[in-house]
Amino acid sequence: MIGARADDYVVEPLKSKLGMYPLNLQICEPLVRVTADYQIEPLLATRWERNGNTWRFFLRPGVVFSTGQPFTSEAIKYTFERMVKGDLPGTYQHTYIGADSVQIVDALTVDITPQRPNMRLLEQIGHSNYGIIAPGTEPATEPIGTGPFKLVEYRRGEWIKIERNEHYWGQRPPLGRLTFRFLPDDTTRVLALQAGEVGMILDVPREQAGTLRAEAGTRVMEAPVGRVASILLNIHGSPPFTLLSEKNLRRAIALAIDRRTLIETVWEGNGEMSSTIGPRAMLGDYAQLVRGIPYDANQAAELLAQAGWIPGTDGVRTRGGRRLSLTLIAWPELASATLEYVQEQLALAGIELRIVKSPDMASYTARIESGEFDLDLEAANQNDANPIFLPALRFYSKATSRTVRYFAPGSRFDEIVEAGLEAAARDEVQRRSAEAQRTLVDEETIVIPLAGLKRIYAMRDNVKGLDPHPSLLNQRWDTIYIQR
Amino acid sequence: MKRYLLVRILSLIPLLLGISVLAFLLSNLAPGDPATVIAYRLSDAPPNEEQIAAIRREYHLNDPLPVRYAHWIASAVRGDLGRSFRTKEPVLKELAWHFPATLQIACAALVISLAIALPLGVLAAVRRGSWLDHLARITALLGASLPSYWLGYLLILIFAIALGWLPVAGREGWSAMILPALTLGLGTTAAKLARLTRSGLLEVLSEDFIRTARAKGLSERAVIWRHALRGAMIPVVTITGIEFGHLLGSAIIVETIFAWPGVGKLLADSIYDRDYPMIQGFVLVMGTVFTVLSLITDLLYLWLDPRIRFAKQRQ
Repeated sequence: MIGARADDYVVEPLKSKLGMYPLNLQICEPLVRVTADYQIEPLLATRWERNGNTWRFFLRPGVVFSTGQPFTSEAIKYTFERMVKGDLPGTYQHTYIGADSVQIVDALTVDITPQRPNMRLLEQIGHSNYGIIAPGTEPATEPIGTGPFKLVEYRRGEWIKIERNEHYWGQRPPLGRLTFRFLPDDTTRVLALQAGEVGMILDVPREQAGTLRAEAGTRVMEAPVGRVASILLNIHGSPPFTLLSEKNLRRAIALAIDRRTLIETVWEGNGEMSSTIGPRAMLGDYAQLVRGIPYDANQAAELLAQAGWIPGTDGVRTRGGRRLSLTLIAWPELASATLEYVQEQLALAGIELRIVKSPDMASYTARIESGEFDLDLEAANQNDANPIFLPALRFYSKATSRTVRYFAPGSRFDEIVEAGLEAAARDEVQRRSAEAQRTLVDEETIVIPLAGLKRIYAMRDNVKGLDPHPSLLNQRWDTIYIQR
Repeated sequence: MKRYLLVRILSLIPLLLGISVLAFLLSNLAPGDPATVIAYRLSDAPPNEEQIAAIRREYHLNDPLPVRYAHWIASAVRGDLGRSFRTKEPVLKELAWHFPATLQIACAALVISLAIALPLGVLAAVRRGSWLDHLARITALLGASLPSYWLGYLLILIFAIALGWLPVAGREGWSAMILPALTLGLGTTAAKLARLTRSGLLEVLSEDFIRTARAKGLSERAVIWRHALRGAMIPVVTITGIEFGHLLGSAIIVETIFAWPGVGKLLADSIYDRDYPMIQGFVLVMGTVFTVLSLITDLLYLWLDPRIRFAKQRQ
């Protein structure tokens, strides 16, 4: 029994991702797998080759669905066509997969040709949204896949039960059955573990990890960094949110925040210093190209003074009668303590920070889309293996996301991203992504990475075999067993 | 009497219409766009203009507010509250699926509240000014002051973790109902009813017919339980009806803590997702339940108090 967060499955026919997203239970498998260091390894496809914009996948022979139905190229065509049919326009925009993109070559070979050139396809389709389903089936009713588990029962908002797929082509899971109980309240999830009602819990609140670590019979495990809490600065705001168009002010903010203390005190050590905007593993050796701006309160003060911001009687700096007052918005899931810490740090530098806490994601998105903010605190996940995913999604001026307009650095940055998107070699993409991140963090200071966040799992001592993955979507459950 | 009933039932129509307007406006005027929320749920990335526009078209979110209200209320009158944005299931089906769970803990909570409040109130009134009275008042004050999330966690710590008697959360088996019902029942409802019972009983105990009953030589127990309590129950019954509606509507925190799949949790999820049809449907249905409960309370009131019954008949 595993205590999971809220049940957020979409169960609408054609759009359903039951068992796949946002909690992937390994019922359906994609063609490739994303490893813990964000590399791609074979899964349902044993190998692949690219010819221009066409990707040829050679499928694993001898695989059957949990119903016993053989897995062939037909399943790839069915899955991707269903995906496009039920799609909102552009949901799969980053892959450019269209209705006619999949061509069957033979029973175990398929060609995928995106509607536009896409060198990143292989790295993208390891995401659990691309899990392959059996032809003629509908996951809204019952997801049928080739994975190590099959669905037993789903009760909305209460639980989802899975059991070992006896037809599985690989190593069969040691556990015969797993139940994921939806326990949306963080404290209840912890209490359920303490009471022995569940053997493991996901997403342990950072501030409760220490208590659980100290408890006998309980083990806490951390995944490598899978996302980075970062402050994004609105450089193209409309009045009164125009202050951060000044590069020196942006740099002063970055210099004024002591991130190490944030990790050690507010997060009780459950974080990692990060100069990159996503997991460092994505960039390989090129991660060192992004140096980050170290904490230096004196330099922050100097920069502000040089820019004409003079401390006022209440400690808040002013210039030409205007107070140095900024507005911070944040993802609702991020704890108030983090926001208040940033507020205190900036107050020491003479910057007044007004926190607008959004009660839910809907009010947050309304706020960010209106542009009524100076700073935005987020913690975006990296769930696929595409090294340039985040720079392209959030900062590339030609991206279709509606909030790009507040953060896009400009044409030179766009050229770097385009070079990354078009590069064939992974090494080249990593280099381009690192260059793009260097622009965002070191040169333009449009992003201030606060810290790398690790997913925290807690379990009873006898629960073994979990190998925490930085991305929950890629977490494997088929290795878990109970030690008798 | 029949005429009174008819007038009361007819008066519900404008009331429910008012509730429907409020429900519609409150959900539609809250900040946040349902189309954006739906797009996020489907795509795992910030949505683009085209996606938002497609969803707005699909869910008729571009229609002017009065048009949308007219469509919704016309369907609601025919018993169709629309389909949830979130699940695409009919709103009534969703409510019908979740409502029994809430009803279950609300009923249990009410029984717990009454079981605590009535003896506590009677004891406090009969032993007025004694340490028992003070203790009862402090207990009631504590009950009213404890936040339900705090009480919920405390009960889990005691009964699920320290003693291991009851499950922490979920809805499996009758034992799972105890902690959510206790959390809900031990709160303000019990405190309010206890205080009301005490003050009502004190008032009745000072009336002439009680003096007469005592003069007739009836035992104190008979005076209190057979004569005084019935009169003191009139305001208690009124408030109990209202409190039951309150319990149904305020189960949201308790349902979230205990992962109890009731309408409170459904409403919370619907608000987070700006699921307008579900929010509107919930408010309308709960408004209806509340007004019907209020009507039943009034009828009980007539039955309990002959003075009111005769006054109505004379009218």
